Amino acid sequence: MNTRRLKALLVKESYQILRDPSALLIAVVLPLILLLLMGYAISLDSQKIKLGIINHDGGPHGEELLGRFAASPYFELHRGTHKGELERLMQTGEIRAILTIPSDFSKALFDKRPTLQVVADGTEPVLAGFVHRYAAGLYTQWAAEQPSMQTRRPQYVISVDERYWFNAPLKSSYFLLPGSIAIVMTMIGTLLTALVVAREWERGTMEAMMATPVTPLEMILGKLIPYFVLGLASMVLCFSVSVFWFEVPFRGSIWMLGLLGVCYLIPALTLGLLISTLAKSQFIAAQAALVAGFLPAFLLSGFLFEIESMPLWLQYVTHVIPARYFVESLQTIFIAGDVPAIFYKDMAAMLLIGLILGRIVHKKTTKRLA
Amino acid sequence: MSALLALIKKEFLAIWKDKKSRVIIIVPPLLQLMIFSFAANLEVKNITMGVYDRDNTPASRELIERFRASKSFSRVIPLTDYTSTRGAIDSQRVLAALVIEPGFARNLLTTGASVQILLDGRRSTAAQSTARYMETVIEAYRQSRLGSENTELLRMRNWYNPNLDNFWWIVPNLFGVLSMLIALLLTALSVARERELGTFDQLLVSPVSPAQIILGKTIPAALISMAEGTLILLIGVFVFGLPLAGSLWILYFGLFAYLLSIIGIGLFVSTISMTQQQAILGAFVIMIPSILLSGFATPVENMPDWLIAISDIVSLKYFLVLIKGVFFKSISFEAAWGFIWPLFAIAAVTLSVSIRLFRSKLG
Repeated sequence: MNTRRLKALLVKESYQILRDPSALLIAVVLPLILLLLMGYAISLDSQKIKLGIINHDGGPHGEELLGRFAASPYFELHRGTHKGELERLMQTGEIRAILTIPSDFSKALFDKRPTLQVVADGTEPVLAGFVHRYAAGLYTQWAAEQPSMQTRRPQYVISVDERYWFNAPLKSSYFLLPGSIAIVMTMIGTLLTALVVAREWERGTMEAMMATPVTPLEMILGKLIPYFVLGLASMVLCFSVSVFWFEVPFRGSIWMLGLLGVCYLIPALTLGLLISTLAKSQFIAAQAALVAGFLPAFLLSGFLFEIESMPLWLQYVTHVIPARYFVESLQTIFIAGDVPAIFYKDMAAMLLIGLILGRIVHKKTTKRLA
Repeated sequence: MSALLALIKKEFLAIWKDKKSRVIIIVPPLLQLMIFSFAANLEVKNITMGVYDRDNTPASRELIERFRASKSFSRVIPLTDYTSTRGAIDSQRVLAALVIEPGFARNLLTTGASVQILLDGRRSTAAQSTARYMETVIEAYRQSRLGSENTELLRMRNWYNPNLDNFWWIVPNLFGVLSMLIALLLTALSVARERELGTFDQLLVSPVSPAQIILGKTIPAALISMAEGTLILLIGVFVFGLPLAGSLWILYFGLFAYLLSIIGIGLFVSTISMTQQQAILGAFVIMIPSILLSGFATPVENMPDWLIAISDIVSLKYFLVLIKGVFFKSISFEAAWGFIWPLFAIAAVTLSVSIRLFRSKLG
């Protein structure tokens, strides 16, 4: 390998990146948009639910209970007089659930606990589950305070002390923002690399380069190193925005984070390279990068959806997705600190996937040029 | 007219004659539909939890048995001390750990028993759901000890999706996202590809008008995405068992308006891009915020006001409400129109801006 030639290639490629606004769009603008939305728009925490109310109860207790609902941070009440009116609101998504208090509520309260009816919009299953749990909790708590209901029997009190380790304020941004780093690096490593190299093939410049004294290894490195650097730079950007703007704690060591980033970029870049070698055009490369790189990083990595909750066959599929390991380590290093057992296992897995992909790329590229 | 038809035919051929691009249009969306329908589940299931039983009495063991019997917890791992509990959470072997304090059985009848729930805050959303499940199990245990008559406090029902089937949530969402993906990429690349390959100038000197060029680009994209949407629809109904309660006409009318608005955006990206790479990345920069702001994963009403304002120009937001309305709620045309006209408005603005831009680039 000739370092002078490699250097020349690197300079050429770097100029190309700096000149093309779209590379900077993906390396700077998109990460910022993504982080901003992850920080502000996507909150998986307690949500305020618009709850329709029908109160058939003439007595004082129904209103008293509703007062409790109104004071709760989880509900925003919309009063209605009959079901049809609220049903229309539920059809267009303006309310998510309807709570009905029966007509004999105040009267029945002294004999037994009257049953409330809650109907939720099942098209949003998460919200529906949420409504049921919180409505049940509020009512149970309120009913327990009513004097008429206290029996003389022993109460069997069990006090439950809940502690959330690492994330006491329970902010979903604490794990979404670190996870976003994996998404951004996938876009640069896989999507951008796949596009850039596919363009060379599409235009035939790859073959033209072969006629020059440049060796295939030099050419590949000349392509990969600039994007490797760009990927690391965007990691620094994401890290800074998460820690300094959104105040996500960073409890691990910065060197370990850098090492993890390097270990992730290797399979990400090789995947991009493989896609560009197999694809003939940029359109195909883009679609393939989306399917093989970006979407799995988004959906199958544990970034947004729990891997344990997936069907077993899909859990096995997640094992070949490098982002899965990176996301796990990122979430740990940010808010739990250094847990070497997790990091080394994840790094080994990422490097192994990178190695296997590298072998395939090597085979395919030599075949394509032969 | 015949020139337009020839253009449309050429456009179809350009996509269809290449085997790889034929495959890439059909296979990935279907693959995504199948895989992501199973992956995207915000409910927490198959939880692995740990138990550190410091009491070790029949009462505490009965509580543990209740956790083992619960559907939500697939594995209950016994832990022997605080160090191993800490280690199990640190290494993510368990998402939560229950610590039963000494004297649990004795205090149950007198001063009150206590347990501790330790949760992995790295996955705070899943941890919170887990905590709710654990509370439910503990409450049921308490009730059974009380021998209470098990009064039903809340009668819960779910309209439109009575069993809270996750497929009924994710498949319509993916319908919107995948249709957008195809339509946006196809149109974004259309003009940009001709420009990059240098065939754009040839097109300009040929006897077709700019309007015909634009139509020749948009109609094939619209037809392909429409066909793709139909395929997803069929899979949704026949494979995933979606009910399709409402009118198919409203659905297709809405899909048409939706695709028109996406194509308008795609053309806009295409006219301002010099290369295919710019077009693809530009499409990406539009797609990601659209998905996040559409209410796909989290409801729009929980976002800050300034983001709700931005979400008003996201076509996917309207389409998702519309399609769920048609699929499950059999909404009337009047109700549906409230979500269809914004799509036409977005289409009118984006299409006229791109046509103007396109013309000015020619002049």
